[in-house]
Amino acid sequence: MTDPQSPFQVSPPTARRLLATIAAALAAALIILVVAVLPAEYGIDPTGLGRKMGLTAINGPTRTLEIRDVIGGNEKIREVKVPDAGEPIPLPNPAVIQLKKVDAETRTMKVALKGGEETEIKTLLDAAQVIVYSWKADGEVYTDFHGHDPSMGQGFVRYEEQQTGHEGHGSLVAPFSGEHGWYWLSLEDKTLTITLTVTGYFNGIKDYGIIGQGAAQ
Amino acid sequence: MTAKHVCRVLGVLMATVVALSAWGHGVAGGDAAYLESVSGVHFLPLMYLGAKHMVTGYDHLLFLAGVIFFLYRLKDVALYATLFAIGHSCTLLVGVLAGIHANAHIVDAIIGGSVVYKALENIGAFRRMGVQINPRAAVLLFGLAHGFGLSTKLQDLALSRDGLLGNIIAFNVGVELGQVVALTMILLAFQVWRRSGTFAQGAYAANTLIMTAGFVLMGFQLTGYVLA
Repeated sequence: MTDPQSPFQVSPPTARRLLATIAAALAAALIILVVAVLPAEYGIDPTGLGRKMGLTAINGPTRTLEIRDVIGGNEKIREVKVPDAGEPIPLPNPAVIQLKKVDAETRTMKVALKGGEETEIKTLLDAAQVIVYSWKADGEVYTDFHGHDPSMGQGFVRYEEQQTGHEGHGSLVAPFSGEHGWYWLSLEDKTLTITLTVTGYFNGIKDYGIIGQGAAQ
Repeated sequence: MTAKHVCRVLGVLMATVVALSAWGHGVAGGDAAYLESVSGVHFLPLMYLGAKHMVTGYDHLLFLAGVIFFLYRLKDVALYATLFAIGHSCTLLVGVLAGIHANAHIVDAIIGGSVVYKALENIGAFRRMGVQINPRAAVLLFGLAHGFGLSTKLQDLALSRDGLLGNIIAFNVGVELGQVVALTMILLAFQVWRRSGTFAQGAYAANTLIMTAGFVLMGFQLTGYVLA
């Protein structure tokens, strides 16, 4: 029997055209491989175009998580793929990350001090609780930012002392459970106002009001 | 051949390749889990999976498209499809039963090579070189390679020994049914194309594209082999 033939087998193209065709096919295949297939399938991306086009993410390392959906009492288990970042390095201090179930709290307080008056505002923190704070006074004050551990008696640890200043900003990771806050003394003759904002996780804020010499007046 | 024709042919082929690659190849995750969980003969599910593997297997489809590119008579299509089926059935059955572990990347690279071979033959490359290759022997031989591809993919799964033969036969029957479905669709598409009057102009370009796809498959699999 005779085999059916393509018209190109009856009159084949010239050797030059054939070579050009094969070269073109090879070149096209090489470009497709390097630009698209290798980045997408193996994450090999010599041109960097695969990353730009988002192809390298397709077969990036992933692992599968089982998600349980309970809809209308019917439990359905579906699997989702999440990126696999590999095994983590152990965290030396677990207190670095503290997961909470509620929003962080922000509280703003204002204290008016007449000339020479003093006050204290303390946040109540467990060990390792974190606050971010900012205070400003519309006049010059002496301030002492410090912490008390109830077991210390009268002792305290100092975080920052300003002989004279009108603002303070920062954060604190409580070194121990107790009261952590600010002592302010007005250095003005006229009344000034201190505005303090604390954000973070704290158990409460204690306002001691006007104390010492000013309170006695 | 006008630029418009080339664009049209390119567009259709690219769309087909993209659509087929989107399904991926090999036996998909859920199907694999099913196959590993069953024991005993499950004829219809295995048949379905065989058919699905063939219909969504772009490497098999590209080769088939190349094989029937210039076959006009249904008799010839049937002959070549049968030779291909005999080839891949042999290695599928023997491969799984005897537990022949061919490297999947190498087998798939050879399958990519079969696509390149068929495209080269279609554009008359072997005739120009003065090489005589019996096309029927070639399709049978490459059928054997495609069958190894099927068997390595089945063997990647921990199939139960219980009912193995029945399940392979079911899978094989499905593969043949899938081949009939795929061939029918490819033939219909070619029929439409041949009637449109652009077939003669586009045939050379289309085979060049099939060859390109074959080279891409080879590069893809050989890279996989090197990396593995």
